[in-house]
Amino acid sequence: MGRELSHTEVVDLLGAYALDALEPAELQTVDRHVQNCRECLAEVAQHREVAGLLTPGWSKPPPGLWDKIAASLEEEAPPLDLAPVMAMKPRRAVSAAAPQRNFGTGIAAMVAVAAMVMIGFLGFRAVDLGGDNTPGGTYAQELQRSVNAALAEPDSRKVDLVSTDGYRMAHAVVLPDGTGYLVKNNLPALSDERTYQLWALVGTSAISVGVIGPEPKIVPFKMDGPVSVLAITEEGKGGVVSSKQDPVVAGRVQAV
Amino acid sequence: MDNLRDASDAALVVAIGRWNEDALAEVYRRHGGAAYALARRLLNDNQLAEEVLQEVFLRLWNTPERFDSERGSLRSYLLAQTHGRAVDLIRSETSRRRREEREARESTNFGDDIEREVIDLTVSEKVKEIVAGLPTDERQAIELAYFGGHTYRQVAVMLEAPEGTVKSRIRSGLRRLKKDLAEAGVGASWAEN
Repeated sequence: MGRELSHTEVVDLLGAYALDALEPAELQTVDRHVQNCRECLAEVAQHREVAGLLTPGWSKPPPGLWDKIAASLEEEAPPLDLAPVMAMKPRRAVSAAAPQRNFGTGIAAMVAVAAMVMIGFLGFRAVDLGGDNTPGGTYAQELQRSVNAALAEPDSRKVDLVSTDGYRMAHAVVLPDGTGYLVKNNLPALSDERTYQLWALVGTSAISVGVIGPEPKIVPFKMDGPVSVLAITEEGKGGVVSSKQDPVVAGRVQAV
Repeated sequence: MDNLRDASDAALVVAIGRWNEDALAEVYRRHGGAAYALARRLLNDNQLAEEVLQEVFLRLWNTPERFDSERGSLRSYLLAQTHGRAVDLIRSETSRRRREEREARESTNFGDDIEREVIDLTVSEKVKEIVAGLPTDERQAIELAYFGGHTYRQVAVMLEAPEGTVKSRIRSGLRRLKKDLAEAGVGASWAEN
């Protein structure tokens, strides 16, 4: 199915889509529509909830399966110098060995701007979520709580990432253990074919911390080592191992 | 670990985002059995079902941000992932599928399969009753698509019905189930723990 489908045509297919019952040729078209249509997304979620109820009960997984999964986590989550570039939002630092590139003169200029511009964490404070500290809540709420805790942590480092003209900025907070959050930004939304990518400068190496999507909001990430600068570049969808772009924004990370 | 036992699914996913392996273990404890049952039902192969389960949990570990609790429960997310991967495997064996389709046309009594499946559900007898109350044509279409791993066009051939009719039956059947389950008060308690 090469042509785009109308909303009505897609709606007709949502049941089949939710049950993975579309033809491959239709799947891509419907998927593209659903990901950009709140109404369709909500209906698919409802269908999948219902389908989940039809699941044939509970079968005790074979003994040892969890051990296999746990063992492979170590392979899948290697330390800083081995992990692949992630296709989605960043969680793991990436490839210390590969990208031996500096970003050119842009990064120094941006760091200088960041030092001069009075922005960011002066006005930054934890968001009041109404005192709801129960274990419940949505993923977004849980993430916001984590950010709030990080911002309130006395030893956390706040990083202002700024463009050379001072108009574009992003703010991050990094905990002593290297866990960080991109907290907010005013970066323009990109097309689906483009993405922002977060980088950490360790020595002269730009290390990909992760691919953060075309419209990043709160993004958790992890970094390790003596990171001196955080920077964000714009890349093609999926990100790159080594960037050829100058950063959109960059900011210096205070040494611990 | 005790704290994790009390944590919501959303909180567990956030903990997984911080590389908390115990949180993943807790998610596995809660939902691994349902995912394994579904994979085994679809694939009829314990080894392949294990591989699917491994893949699904590794995917959650690597990209927990793909789960959005505002769009549904973690259980349905994991089951959808399991279903999708299992269906990929089924369809990758084209010749086997063709043979199975022939066999299905020749021998399957479509009417009772969903009812039989939900007999094993710990959720409730209510679900079984509600599924049994579905119009037969809707129940058949859903069963062949969901448990058979068939596309709606394949289902249309198997049921000798127009494609448009089958896709509408799948959707209307799911909507009817949702409404009936909601009226019966089923649909939230199974999401966690």
